Amino acid sequence: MAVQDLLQHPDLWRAGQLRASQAFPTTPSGFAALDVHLPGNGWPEAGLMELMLETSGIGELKLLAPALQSLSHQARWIAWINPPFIPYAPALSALGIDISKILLIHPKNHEDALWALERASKSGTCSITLAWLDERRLRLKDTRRLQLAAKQGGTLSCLFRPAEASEQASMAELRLKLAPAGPIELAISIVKRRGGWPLTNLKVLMAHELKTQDMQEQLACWRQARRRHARPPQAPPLLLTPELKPVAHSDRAMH
Amino acid sequence: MLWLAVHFPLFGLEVCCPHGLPETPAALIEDSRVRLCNQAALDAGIGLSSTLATAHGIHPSITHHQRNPASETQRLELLAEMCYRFTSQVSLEPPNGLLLEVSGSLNLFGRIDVLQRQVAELCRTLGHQVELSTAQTPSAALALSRSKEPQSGRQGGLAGVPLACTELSAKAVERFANMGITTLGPLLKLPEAELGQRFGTQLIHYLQRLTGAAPDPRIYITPQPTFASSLHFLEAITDKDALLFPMQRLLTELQQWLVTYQLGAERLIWHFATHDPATRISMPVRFANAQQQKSAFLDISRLKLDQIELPEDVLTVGLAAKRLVAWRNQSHVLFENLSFGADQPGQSMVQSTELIDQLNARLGPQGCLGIRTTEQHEPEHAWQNCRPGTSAGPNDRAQTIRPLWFFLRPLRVERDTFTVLRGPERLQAGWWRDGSGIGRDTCRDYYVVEHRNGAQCWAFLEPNGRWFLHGYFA
Repeated sequence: MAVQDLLQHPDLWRAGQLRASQAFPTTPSGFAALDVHLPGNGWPEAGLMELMLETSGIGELKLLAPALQSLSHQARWIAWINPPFIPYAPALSALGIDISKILLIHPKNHEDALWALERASKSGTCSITLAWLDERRLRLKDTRRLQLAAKQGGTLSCLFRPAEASEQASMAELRLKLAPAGPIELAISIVKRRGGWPLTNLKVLMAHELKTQDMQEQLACWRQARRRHARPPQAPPLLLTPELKPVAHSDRAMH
Repeated sequence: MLWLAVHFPLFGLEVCCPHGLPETPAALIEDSRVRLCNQAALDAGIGLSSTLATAHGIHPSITHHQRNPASETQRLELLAEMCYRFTSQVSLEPPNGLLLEVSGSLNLFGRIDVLQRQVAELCRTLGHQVELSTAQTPSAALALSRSKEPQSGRQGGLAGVPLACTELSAKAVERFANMGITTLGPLLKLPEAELGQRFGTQLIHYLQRLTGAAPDPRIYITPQPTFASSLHFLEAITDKDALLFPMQRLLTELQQWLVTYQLGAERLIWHFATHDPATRISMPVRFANAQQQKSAFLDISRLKLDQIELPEDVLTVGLAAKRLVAWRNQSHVLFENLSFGADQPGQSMVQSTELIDQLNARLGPQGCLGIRTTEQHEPEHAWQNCRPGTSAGPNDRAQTIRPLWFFLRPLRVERDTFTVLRGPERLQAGWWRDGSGIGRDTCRDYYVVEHRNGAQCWAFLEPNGRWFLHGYFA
């Protein structure tokens, strides 16, 4: 067998050959700078993906917004399982996401949350699931179950975890670590990807839906503010974890 | 006119044994005499109308049930409603028969044997042995179907039907037997006037109705507008898994009933009870969309069953269907495995409501909700929870900046923990609202700020100088 034939063999993977596996469908992330580093040039359409971040609100939803927007036009649900805050309907709607596809699922405990996530991923009736689970009780075997369920149901299953989770093993097929880098940028580290090495500190411009003028203005504002209130270097990073109950609906009557 | 008679030979016994007839000898007792018995009892040598003591003497372990006329009537009415799908002209023939006028239905079913097969299949699904016969008159059809039992000894057509299978009184049958007449054939040959003189006009009327010489109108059933059925057990059920069998049986009945009426059920109510009626427990099961299939009902009911506390031993399971809506059948995807992931704008969301039902069954009615926008400009009132899949609400893509994460209760922060990026946007509202809730006399200046930890937040400044975070630009 000639070397050329060997290289054509599907089982053979060479380092640096990121796009070798075209077998599974992907959906573009909407960020060209990120897409080139993702296997199949996008988020996997069937599989578990982990997004690990220090604190909420650094741009994790904006990162998913283009995918949410395109997936929301499928006749399938977008399930939010145990979200830490309320996904704000006017903002989502303004991003072009069809919010009538959104399911907000509020489980009472960890078992119910895992069950709901697995059921939603497996059913094939959700295009994407976004889940926030109890990190202390999440086991490696759970991630394996979730990965299999997502594969089976053809669902992009996104699990949001704290940054420390990047040290632990996980069966997710794509693992990203997110960190803030200014008002319109996000620093992404790819901790694990199929058919590729880990990658650190990839800067991705988040201001995709803002007008250029807005963006410039915002950036200028930010730089100015930065100069004025120089961040004290010794100040410990304050974690913003407000004690808000995720069960947001109890106060509001269902209409 | 073409009449189809449906005769249930072991009806009384089947009503007493809701789980199907046992393989061991069993008998139905009325006035301490054996009325009916199954094949095993017949094989053991137990004869009809022998006393209970004799039956026990022949086979000590025979199980016997007291006849229950009330539940027989109830069951017969239910069966009549099930048969309503074949024709609208169904009449009850107590104690154990039904009459269906099927001449019109032949246009739909084609041949009479196709129709007969379907009727027989339905009755077997519901747990009843059945004998079917067709004839031009209702009385003849009934007599023929009764004479199909193996022990009746019929030969040939109507002429060979034994008199015991007709509606003649036992006394008349005996008198004819003394005359040497045991079947309908010789009886019909006798001259009418003389027969009338000896046996009365009632006999003549019956024979005229039998041959079609006199009209024989029947009273047709009017179907009930709701479904309710229940099963009672002789032995208590202590295990939830064991409850699934009677539940399946009730759901089979419900499915047949729904198909008959072209309806779908949006809500089921299960009842579980012990000896004491006061301990009755109701278990409502809701569906996002009307369902008709037994499997769909069972899946959700099972999830719900896991959630509730049942009494120790259940003796009665009941099922009622509420919120019935006209059934709209969906066409299913032929190559379902090929299509997922692809955009299918034409596909309805109806098939995917199964997930919502499952979630609601386990997490409660508030466990799975949708969101929509409203036409309010105050941040707290600009969104609402709603039933999943309802319309998205207004979408004015105004240039206002709104965060993706929203806090239900604003979070108090100190001024030195963030830097202001842009703003302000003044939102003033609420003075028309009653009471002192959120939004009463609100005046807030909203800013986009960056928190020290790098998160972009939506913060507002109250006139009294206090800062609050109200969302994240996640």
